[in-house]
Amino acid sequence: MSAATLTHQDHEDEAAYDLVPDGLDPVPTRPRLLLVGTALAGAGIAVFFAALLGMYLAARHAVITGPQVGDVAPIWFADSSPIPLTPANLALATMLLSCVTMAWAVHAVAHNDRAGAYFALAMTLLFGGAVINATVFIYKAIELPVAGGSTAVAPLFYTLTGAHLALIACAMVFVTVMTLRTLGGEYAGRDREGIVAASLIWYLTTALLVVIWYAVYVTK
Amino acid sequence: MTATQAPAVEATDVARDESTADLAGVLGSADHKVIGRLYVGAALMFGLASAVAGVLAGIDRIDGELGNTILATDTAPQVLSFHRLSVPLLCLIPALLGLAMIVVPLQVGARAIAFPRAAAASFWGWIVGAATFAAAFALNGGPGGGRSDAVDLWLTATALITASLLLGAVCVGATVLAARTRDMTLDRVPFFSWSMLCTTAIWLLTLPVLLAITVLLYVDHRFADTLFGAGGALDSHLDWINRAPQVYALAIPLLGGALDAVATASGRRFPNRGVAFTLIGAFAALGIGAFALPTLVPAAADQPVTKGMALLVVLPVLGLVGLVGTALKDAKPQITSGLVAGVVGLLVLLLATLVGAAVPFQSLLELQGTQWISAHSHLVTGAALIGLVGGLYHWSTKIVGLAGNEALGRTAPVLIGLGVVLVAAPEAVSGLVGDAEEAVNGLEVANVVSVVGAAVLLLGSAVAVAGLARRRHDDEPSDPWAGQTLEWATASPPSFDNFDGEVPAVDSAEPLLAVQSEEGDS
Repeated sequence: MSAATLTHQDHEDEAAYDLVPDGLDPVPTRPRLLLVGTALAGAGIAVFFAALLGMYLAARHAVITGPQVGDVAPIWFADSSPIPLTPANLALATMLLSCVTMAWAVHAVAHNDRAGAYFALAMTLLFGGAVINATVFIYKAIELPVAGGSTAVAPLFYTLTGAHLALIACAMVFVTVMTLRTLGGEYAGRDREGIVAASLIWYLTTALLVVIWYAVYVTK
Repeated sequence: MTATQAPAVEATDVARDESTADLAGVLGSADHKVIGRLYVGAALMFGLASAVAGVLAGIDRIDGELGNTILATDTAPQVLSFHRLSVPLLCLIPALLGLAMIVVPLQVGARAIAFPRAAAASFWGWIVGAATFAAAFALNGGPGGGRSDAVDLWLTATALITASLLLGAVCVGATVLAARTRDMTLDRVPFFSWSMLCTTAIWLLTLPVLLAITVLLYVDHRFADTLFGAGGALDSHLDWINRAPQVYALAIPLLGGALDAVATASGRRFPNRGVAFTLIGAFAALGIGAFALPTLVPAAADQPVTKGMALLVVLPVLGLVGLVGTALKDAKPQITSGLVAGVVGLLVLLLATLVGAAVPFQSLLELQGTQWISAHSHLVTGAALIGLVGGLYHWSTKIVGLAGNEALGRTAPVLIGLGVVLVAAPEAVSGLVGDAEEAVNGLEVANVVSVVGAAVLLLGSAVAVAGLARRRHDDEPSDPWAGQTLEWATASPPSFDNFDGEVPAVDSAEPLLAVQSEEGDS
């Protein structure tokens, strides 16, 4: 029986129910596994939003270049449901600001600045919550019913912006978990892959909001 | 212990296998081999259900009209929809993903798959989604379902399935990119791992589009009904995953698996690895079909880029067939089940690409909505199925811990290939020569031949399963083929952490071949 087999024996119970091998040579043969996985997931997220945005723009283009109904020129958002730009601008500015605090959190973790990391994390989460709040405010302000519309604006608008809200919420959870895991010792200042991966998703979330802000809120 | 002398299954390994075989060990497992087996097993079960649905719809359509023989008028389209959507989502993609989850970490010398718990979540999410998907159809859901809540349930299940498969794709892709062992550079990864990297890249670029459409369909169907309409119209927004060019994404793993089996059977280094990598990558790139979905581009088939892709996709397959011929020339290869499946699969895929070259010209050739389109889908999915069977046999000692019956393993791909051609050829003929109604529903005689072909295909699948279903012996070989790549340096079945002791050193794309040569010399 080889020495390696003996080591397996020691881990037999764990192997039965956990089954993530960490007893033997756990050193990753290549670094940045989490970063690579996050980048792949990020690519999938980007494609998801690109598809939604593509369908949104295609449907809008079909409506505004379509035939006039009676004396009314074809419009996308009805006059009864104007999109307020101010809260949308505020949401974008807040999200951009949150990128600064996210970068601050990464920097703080890199320098083992625990207090700074916690503070930066709290600020990032606060800003993320503010963006969600601003979007919900827009929902209430425009009073756009999902059902009963003559165009597809409502389902497309709510699906696109709602999916982004869900992404912000997931990114907030990811950032929190990764920061706590890093500060809890799973990663260290020199090996801050977790928090960098979380920041990658956060920056992607911000980039997507920039696109949505321009395509949905500005050009209407 | 040398690299080629993989350790026999020792007492401790058996004990661990027994401990992991209990229900808690399976349900709580994040071992990539356990998850992969679950994926493959469940996908084959759903594949059987899908095949039965296809045969029922085929029998019903023998007289040239769907829904008036053995299925009710409103049931027949639902059965056909279930067949069309379940083949990729419930059978082929999950089965190929499961095969990759087992084999890829072994091939690249990883101790585990990247993100093992995410891989487990991928399977459990998929199985819940798949069961719900089937239940929704049973509850009169599905694209043309008459029960609104069941349609919503079906859309939710489709979204869950897609998201779960994407999660699994991330795990496999990250394993190839970032969990390779030392000195295993990307150009040294085995062909199957390379093909799975290409496949996951294509899935990550296209399945999110399916997810986006499904979410939008759900919101629209549940709350508005203004964007897509109701009923059978929903089907057309999802069916693009079965059509050219997207359907080719199902066949990418076949290419890698076939080349690995050919290289192993020839016992030599595979010539022109770089060219083979490029051809697999080119085939994958030409299989990106999300841009052509009718939701965004109604006249997608008429776009120049679609036509160009359909014509060009023949070339990589032709090139790979040529490379296989070169590799086998003067090699006196072992006629293994993997080799037979690889060659048959490549030939069926070549035929599929030739048929598919006409698809973008459907307006010109008056093939729109005809059986020709179905013939193309059947040929590609058939090739992918042959690739799956070949993979299951080639790596059977790593997957189920026993060597498959080689006679049955060599017979099954031939039967499946024959069955697929028998299904597709009459469809193509109907599409070409039938009048309007016959071109859509098939000529009566041709439909009979198609059903016979489906029966042969089912028989081939049953033969394939039968060859793998036998009792395990104590003397199962670790490496039945004198393999060249790292997975053959593991025990059969591989231990919990894949490699007992150190992972063999990698100094070429065939790390075990040099060791075999040294042993032969000595």
